[in-house]
Amino acid sequence: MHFRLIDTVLEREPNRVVALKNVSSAEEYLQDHFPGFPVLPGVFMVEAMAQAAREVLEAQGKRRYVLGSVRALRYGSFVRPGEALRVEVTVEKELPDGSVSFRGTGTVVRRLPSNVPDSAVAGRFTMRPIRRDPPPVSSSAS
Amino acid sequence: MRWMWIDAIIAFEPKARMVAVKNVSLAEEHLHDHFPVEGDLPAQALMPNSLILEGMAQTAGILVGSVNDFREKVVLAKVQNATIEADVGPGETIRYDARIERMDALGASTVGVVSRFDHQTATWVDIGRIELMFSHLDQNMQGMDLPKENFVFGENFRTILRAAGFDRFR
Amino acid sequence: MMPVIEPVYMGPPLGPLSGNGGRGHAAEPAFSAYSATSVALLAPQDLPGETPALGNCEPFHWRYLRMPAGTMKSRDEIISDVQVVLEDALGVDAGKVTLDATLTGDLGAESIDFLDIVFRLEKKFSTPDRPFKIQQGELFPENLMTDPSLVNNGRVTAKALAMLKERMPHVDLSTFEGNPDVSKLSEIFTVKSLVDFVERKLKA
Repeated sequence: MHFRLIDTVLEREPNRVVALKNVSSAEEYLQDHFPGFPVLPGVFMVEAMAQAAREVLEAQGKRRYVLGSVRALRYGSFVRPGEALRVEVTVEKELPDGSVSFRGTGTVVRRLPSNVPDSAVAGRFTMRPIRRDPPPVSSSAS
Repeated sequence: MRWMWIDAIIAFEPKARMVAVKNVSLAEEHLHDHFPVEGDLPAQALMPNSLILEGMAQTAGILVGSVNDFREKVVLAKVQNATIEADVGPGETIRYDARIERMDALGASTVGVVSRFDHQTATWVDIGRIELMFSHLDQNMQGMDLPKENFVFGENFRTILRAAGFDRFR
Repeated sequence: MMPVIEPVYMGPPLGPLSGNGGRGHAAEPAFSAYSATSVALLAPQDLPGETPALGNCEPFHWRYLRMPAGTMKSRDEIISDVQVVLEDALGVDAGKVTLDATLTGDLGAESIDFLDIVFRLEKKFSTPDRPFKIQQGELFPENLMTDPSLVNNGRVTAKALAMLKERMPHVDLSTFEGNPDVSKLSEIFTVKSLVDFVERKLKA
């Protein structure tokens, strides 16, 4: 599988990106998640938000930031093959240790009308530069 | 890509704690996209932190599921707090050490520590802490009829559990 | 017969949750170890007896008073603790967690968050000699949302309303009574409901 979790960028602003991830039965991991009940894994929703956040950051010259933390992230409706996940990420602020915090949401895009709620995921996360060693304990935690 | 983000269970204390490991290998395709050559930046293979989150979710999920002998469909409902302070590359091993913090009929909360083993220096270093909440999938959730069998704990998990010595659950 | 999962065990007893030589991530036990004494911030007028004149007392003598464990928290402390619980559980900024903010409407809480809040309140208000345990349905009426005999045509029955009033004195039901639509039940919970609940339970 290619590790691209966003298929197209729908809206692009200096501090906000809206992107789409199509979910297709052709994606092999769906056979295991779950057998007989394929749904987009929750952590792939997080990865989609992280990759959308990277679009914001790359435009700001912050290259190759990785997911640093996730906070108060709730899962709602499932996203099934034939549906899509629309993620929206917005910069909250830059933190003293160089990481950037975001608010992210994901909604299910369905082909047919439904009265099941369309919030799939919502929460906060931070992106930070690649780091091979944990920061020293004495530095202030973000 | 198989959806299996732990390789082996190395310790288990029923209803309390589970420790699992995952090896990171260049044979895994997704590492070649994370990250490839990008302009002037060289390729750099790193385990995506969202998949580290999944490794902890699978470790903690098996632990929670085992409390009721895998009769319930246990799914990740919330990431309360997850921090990964350092990144993991090929040739390293990730260790997930998960503990049930609180559990009742409606759901469970777990706390886990992520560590990284470097085969060159032969040392474990703690790199993160992940707190998760799990709930049960109801039969008629979201207007969908779910398959009756417990698809959450499928064959992959059972293989790992058997390899760890649990061949007595149904 | 109930299938049994045999414990798999290797090596020395499982120690504290941590790899070797952890840096910055020493794990905490499930319930934080509360210190034997708790420190309360008291204003001079709250102290028994005469309030010393500001000029002739040690700067911290009247401001920080060590109290034995198990002493009742003040309402202000409870409010502050509940606010921290909600900020952490819901990922909202401190300024949004006002007393009359509704959990679902203003703070965006969903059903898993209700469980998270229960667990965090238990952790926050438990002490080594007095655990703070919330039974299912004690704070949030979970059984109401699932028991069909308590709901009729999408409206909460009178019997269920009476039960709610009796079991949930911490909630203001006056507006809900006018239109007891069960789908709106979760909207009645405010930050103040939680504070009242905790205060009542700590006093009991």
